[in-house]
Amino acid sequence: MSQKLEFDSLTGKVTIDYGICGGCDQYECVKACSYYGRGILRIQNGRPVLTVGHTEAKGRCIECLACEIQCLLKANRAVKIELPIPGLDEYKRG
Amino acid sequence: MARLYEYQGKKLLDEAGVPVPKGKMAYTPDEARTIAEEICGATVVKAQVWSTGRLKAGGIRFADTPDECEEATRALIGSEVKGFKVERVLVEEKLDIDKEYYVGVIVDDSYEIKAPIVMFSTEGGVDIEETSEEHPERITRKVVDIFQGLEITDARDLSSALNIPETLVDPISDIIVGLYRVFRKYSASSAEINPLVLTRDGRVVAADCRISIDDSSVHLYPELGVEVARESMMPPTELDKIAWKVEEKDYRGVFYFMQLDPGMEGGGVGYHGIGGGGSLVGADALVRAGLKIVNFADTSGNPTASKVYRCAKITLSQPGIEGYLLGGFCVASQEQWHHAYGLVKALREELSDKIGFPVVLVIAGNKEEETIKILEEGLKDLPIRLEIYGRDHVDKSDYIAERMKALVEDYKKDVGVRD
Repeated sequence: MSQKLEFDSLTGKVTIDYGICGGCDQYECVKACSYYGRGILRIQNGRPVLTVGHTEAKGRCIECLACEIQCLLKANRAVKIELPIPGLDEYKRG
Repeated sequence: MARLYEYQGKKLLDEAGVPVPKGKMAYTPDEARTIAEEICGATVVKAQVWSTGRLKAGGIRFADTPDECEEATRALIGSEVKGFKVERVLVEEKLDIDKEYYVGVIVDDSYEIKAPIVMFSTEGGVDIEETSEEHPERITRKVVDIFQGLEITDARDLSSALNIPETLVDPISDIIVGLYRVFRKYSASSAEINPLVLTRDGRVVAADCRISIDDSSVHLYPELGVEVARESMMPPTELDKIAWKVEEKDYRGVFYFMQLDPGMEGGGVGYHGIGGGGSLVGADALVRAGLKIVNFADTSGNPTASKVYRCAKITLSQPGIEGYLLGGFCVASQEQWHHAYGLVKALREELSDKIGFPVVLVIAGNKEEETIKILEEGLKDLPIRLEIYGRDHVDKSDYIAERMKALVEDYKKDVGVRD
C-alpha cells in the first residue's frame, strides 16, 4: 500500500504522508477541504484519499492551503503543499 | 500599460509602412560603429530608455563620423539618463529637419467617448497637452468607430484641416493610417509619433515614437518580448520578473508586485496591500509616518491562498527588510481566510528564525473573525512582533502606520541597525 497520497494542484503539489498521519483520528485535512475547499478528500480505511481522480483533482483543488495549515495546527503535520516560485531561491542567494 | 522602447515601436511602424529613419539598435560601441559605416553619413545615437526629454538629459548625441558614433555610444552605454540605466542605443541617420508635426492615437475611456481618438498637430516635438492648452487650433481630432476603423479619407480630413502644404497631405495621411493600424493590431493603449518630421529633402519620417500596449493583451503578442506587463516608470527588477511569472498565467485574482528600492539603502518595510485603492491608502500612510516602503504589492480580486502565499514570500525575500505590513484597508467581500492561510504558510516559512521581526496585519471583510483566529493560531509560536487588526482599524491607516513605525524602531534597536 502506498505510503503517501500525492496529487498536483494547478500550480503546486500536495503530499499527505501516511507514515506521519497514521493513527490520527482528527481528519483535519478532510474537514478543512470540505469547509474551505472543494471537498476532494474523504476518509477511506482510516486515511485521507481523493474523492476524484488525480486529473480532476488538479482542476478542483483551489489551493486554499487549509488542509496543510489545519493539519499543522491541530494534528500530525502530515500535509505538505509545495508551491514553487521559480527563481526565488537563486535571488535570495544573491 | 506595457511600454515599448523606441526601437521596438519603430520596427512596428516600419512593418506598417510608416517611414522611419535608417538605423539599428546597438549594445556596444563596435556595433554602433558598424551601423554608422552602413549609414554612410552623420548619425544620431539615442539611449533606449523609457523617458522623454532625452536630448536635454544628454541621452541623445550626434555624430558626424563612425569614430564619433562609436565614442558617443561608449559614453552612453552604462550611463544613467533621467534615472534609467542605458543598456542599448538606437543608431540612426541624422535627419535634416525642416518642420515637425505630431500624430497620436489614444484610448479615451471617458463615459462620453469610450473609443480611440486620433490626433494630428502641426506642432511636433512638444507635449500634445502643451499644444492643446496654448494652441488648440493647431490640433485636429477624430473619434474612431472601432468597428469601422480609420479610413484614408478620415486621415486626409485630419491633416488637410490644418492647412499643411498640399504635397504633404497624402504622405501624412498614409502615416496616420499606418499608426492607427499599429495601434489596433497590437492592442495599444496609446501610440504617438512625436515628432513626425519633414526633412529638407522632402521626406516625411517618424523621428521618434512612444507605444504602450494594454496590459491585458500583452500575452497575445509574445513577439514584442515584454517581460512584465505592468505600468511602470522603470524596467522590471529581477524580483519583479519573478513575481510576474506567478501572475502571468494564473488568472485567479490579481497579484501586483513592484520593487521601489531595489538597492535597499537604509532598509525599509515590505508592503503587501489588499485591494487597489485600499492598498494605496496604506502605502500613503506609511510614507506619512516617515517609513520607507521597499516594494508595493497587492493581492485582490479573490486571489487564491497560493497566490497570497507567493506574494508574501516574494515580499519577505527582499534583503534588509525591517518589517512587513499587510494593508487590508478595505472591507473585502471575499472570504478573507484565503489570505489568512496563505500568510500563515508564508510567514511560518520565512520568519521562524527572525526574532522580533515586525509584522502588522490589517484584514477585514467576509469571515473576518475566523480569519483573524486562523492568523492568531497559525502565527502564535513565531518569535516575531505581531499585531493583528480587523475592521475596527480599516479606516485608521495613520494609526497602523505609527504602530508599524514603533515596532520597526524597537526591532532596529534589538538588532543594532543604524537609522
